Amino acid sequence: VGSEVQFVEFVHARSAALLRLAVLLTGDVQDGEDLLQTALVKAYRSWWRLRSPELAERYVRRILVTSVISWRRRGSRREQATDRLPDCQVAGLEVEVADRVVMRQALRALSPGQRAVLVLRFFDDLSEQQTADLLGCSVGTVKSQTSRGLAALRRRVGDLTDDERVGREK
Amino acid sequence: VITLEDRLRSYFRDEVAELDAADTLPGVLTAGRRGRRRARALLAGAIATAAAVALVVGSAQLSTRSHPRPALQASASRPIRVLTRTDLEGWGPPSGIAAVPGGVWLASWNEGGLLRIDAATGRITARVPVGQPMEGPYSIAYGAGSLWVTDFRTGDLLRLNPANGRLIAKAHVDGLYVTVGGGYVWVTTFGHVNGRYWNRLVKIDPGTDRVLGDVLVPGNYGPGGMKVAYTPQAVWLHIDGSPFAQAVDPAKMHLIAHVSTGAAWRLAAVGSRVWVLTNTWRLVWIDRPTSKVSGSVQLAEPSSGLAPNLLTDIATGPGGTLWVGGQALYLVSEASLRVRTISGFGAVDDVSVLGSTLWVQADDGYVYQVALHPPGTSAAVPDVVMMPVAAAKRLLTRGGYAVKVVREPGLEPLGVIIYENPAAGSRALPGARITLVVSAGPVGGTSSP
Repeated sequence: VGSEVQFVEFVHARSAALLRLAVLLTGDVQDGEDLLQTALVKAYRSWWRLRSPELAERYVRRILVTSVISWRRRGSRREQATDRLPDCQVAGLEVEVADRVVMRQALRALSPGQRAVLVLRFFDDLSEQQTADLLGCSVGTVKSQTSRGLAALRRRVGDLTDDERVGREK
Repeated sequence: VITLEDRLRSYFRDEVAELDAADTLPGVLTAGRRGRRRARALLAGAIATAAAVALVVGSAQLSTRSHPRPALQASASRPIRVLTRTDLEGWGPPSGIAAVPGGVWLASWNEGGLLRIDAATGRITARVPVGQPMEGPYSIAYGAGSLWVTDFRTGDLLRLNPANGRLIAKAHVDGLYVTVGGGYVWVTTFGHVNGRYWNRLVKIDPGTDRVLGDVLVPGNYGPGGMKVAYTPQAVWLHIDGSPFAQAVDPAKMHLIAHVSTGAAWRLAAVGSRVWVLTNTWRLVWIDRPTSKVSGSVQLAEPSSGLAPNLLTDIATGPGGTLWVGGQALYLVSEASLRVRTISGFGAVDDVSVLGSTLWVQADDGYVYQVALHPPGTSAAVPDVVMMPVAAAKRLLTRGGYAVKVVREPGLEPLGVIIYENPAAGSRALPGARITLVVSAGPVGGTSSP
């Protein structure tokens, strides 16, 4: 890593995956794009310090995760996005979509840290240790944030069987 | 039963399944621009080569591993003396160092913190967190009685007490590189201004910590930001990867010159001269803010490939000396442009000079404190042979020498100085150790063998 060409290559190669992470972390496509832009500019500023593609990727992911946490902590305007409804109301997909809406809103209700831990654990499939390394916190914190996040989600959406899910949508 | 974890997994997967990441390249990169190679200067080998060909005048060999403190004898041919050596114990790697009165501060981007080494003891006396690991301090400088550090994570310029690292003040400037000169603190930034990205030079009053002015600097953006060095005539800027240096009038805060130098790795200023360490094995100097460089020396021909041995840092020392880090430590004479290779440190990452003390942060994980003696200040050692030991000691100590007395059996009367080393009349630098060999009387006498 080091040159600008390599930076462009890095962005082309990795931005799809990074954008997915950013969108899940913010819970919003626009916010996710903003977050990724911010993170990439930050990475660009410090590009020469990132001596391998692996380090660069790790670094950008870390910026994504840590900036989204401080973003939310500041209580920015982005909190207003909570009540927004999804724009995909397709007939025949209502059940599935409604399920996604419930999950999306439940996730938005979590603290950004809890949400980040859940995204890293269940979307990125990182181990507790890897999650802790990325967040710069202890494994214990990851464990407690995960269980608290899951408990909060469970209160809102519950563990559903297929039958319950269908019944619920009646 | 579908568990919550499974539902979460499928929710996450579905939620982003159709995302299109077509346009995520940051606005800082303009389309079609050719990438420039950021050859992190490959000069070390070049200097070594040049030195081997014609320039080398001598080398000081340090013993770094075998002694806890490689206490070198200073002599006319050895311009340095190692005072302390500090083991960083895996901390780092440091990304910048700044000598301060009584010590040195090291900044580590990877560690997300600073560390202070005390000059008197060589011990680590303070650790200060800055930013977080992999996103820590970007640059560090000493001046105006304070230590100045840019925190990349927050964009803050931190003003710290150089004795203990306590925070005195901070200013949010989105700072990258920082230097101090002319009574002001100069910080370069990179960020979004008026709808596009700019490099910017910010002038800060260290008395009030207020921003006094700034200049937007046109030109390409480089991945490393804009380097800065201060001279009274101009604040010199070099944007990473760009082939020229730019000068800003420090009072009026506008651009006054634009000089082709080639892509640069580091800048260093002394007096009104600024030194540019270029990526093409050239050492360039500029004395005035005009459109031409004042001089340059090609240290060697650039090799075709990227070599791992780079020139890493440059600092200006007393008596017209330049200290350059690289595959070894290099001493360049401003006047003659002769290069001396000082081996024994191994590869050198960062150098910083304050007064006649040089701090060397080497690749081996140690930080060395080195006493500098500018060439040409050595003097003839006084003749003390046959003098009483006490009087000889007094004379030599007053002359700035360190004195060591050893006793050897001899035919001379007991207690008489038989000879001195280095010999009377030879050249030695201040601080050099003079060994007095004193007669212990005839063999078989009272002396120990």
